[in-house]
Amino acid sequence: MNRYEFENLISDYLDGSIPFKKRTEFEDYMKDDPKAESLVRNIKATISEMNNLQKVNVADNFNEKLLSRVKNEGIDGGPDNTILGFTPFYASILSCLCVAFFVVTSQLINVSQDPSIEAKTNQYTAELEQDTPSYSKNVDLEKKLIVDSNIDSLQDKKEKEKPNNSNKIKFVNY
Amino acid sequence: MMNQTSSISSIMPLDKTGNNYVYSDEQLMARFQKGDENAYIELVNRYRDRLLNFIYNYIGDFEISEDIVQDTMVKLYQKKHYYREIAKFSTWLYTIAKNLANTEFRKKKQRKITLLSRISRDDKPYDIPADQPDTDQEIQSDITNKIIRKAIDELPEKFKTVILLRDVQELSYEEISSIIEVPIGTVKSRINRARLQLQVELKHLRT
Repeated sequence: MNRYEFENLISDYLDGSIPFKKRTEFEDYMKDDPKAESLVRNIKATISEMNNLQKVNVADNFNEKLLSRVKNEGIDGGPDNTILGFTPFYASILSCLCVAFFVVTSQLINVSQDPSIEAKTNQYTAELEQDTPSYSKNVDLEKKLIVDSNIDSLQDKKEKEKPNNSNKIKFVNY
Repeated sequence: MMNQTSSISSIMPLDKTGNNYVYSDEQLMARFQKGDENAYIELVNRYRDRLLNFIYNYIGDFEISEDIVQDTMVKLYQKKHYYREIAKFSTWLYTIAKNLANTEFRKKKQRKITLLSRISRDDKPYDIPADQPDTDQEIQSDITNKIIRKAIDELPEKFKTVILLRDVQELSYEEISSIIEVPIGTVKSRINRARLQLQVELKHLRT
């Protein structure tokens, strides 16, 4: 047992809650170190002195003062003035927030159920549907242009790959 | 509000019989919650001095300590409906007192007032005449008390609370754990360290 372990076990030893094996080790440590034994003895003495610290008592008129205070200050012993456990201040804030939440929610629900909005939505959808062919035409045109340009480039390439006979000697069979 | 007291006191024997109380604290509290003011007075009588000693050793000022005990008892009256029997009544009341004492202790710390500042180590009873055997022991005891109180006062707040609750108020580790809201292991460790630190403070007393 080292000093640190010994110091940690002092209270357990004095309380009598130290395990038997540790107790033996603890007592052996005290036998070997007179300062350790003196420390335990002093702690024990201090505890005893603290138990016997001079007691103080309340003044004779303590109860009288207390009861008059309870009576005069109108202290209500009943449950506190709370609403669902909240003080009136917090309860009012909470209720305002709840009202605001319901107002916003109901507004959102009304908006989604508004017939004019629905009509506008339908109109917009119809317009989109009408726009779709022209859009597809454009797409087709674009595709065509791409294909044409590809064909052109391919033809150019073929032409380039064609042997240029202009500078070559032509053999003519007669 | 207090008009029930006289009528009930004639019916209920709330005082001690021998060493035991007729009603436990929790039973009295249950009665008080039902409106029995006499039970409140009995609880006040049981705890006023115990709390005063705890707070006095914590704060070091008698008048302030008595005021705190008053405040604790007023809170007991006001908050009686918050008490549930799952907790020990003494633990609940000590928690209220400790919180009030902590608030006062912090105020006091700010003001840097120390009641026992005049007691220095040089003020040991050496100047007391030796030819007064009847009072000598009392004076010695008084000085020892003051030195111990000063040593306790110099402990860090967390050590001070546990040492007072354990070694002065003699509460169990479980009760202390509930009052200061820390695990029992921490309570034990703090008590041990507080005791060791006290020995350093009280070294001069033992030599």
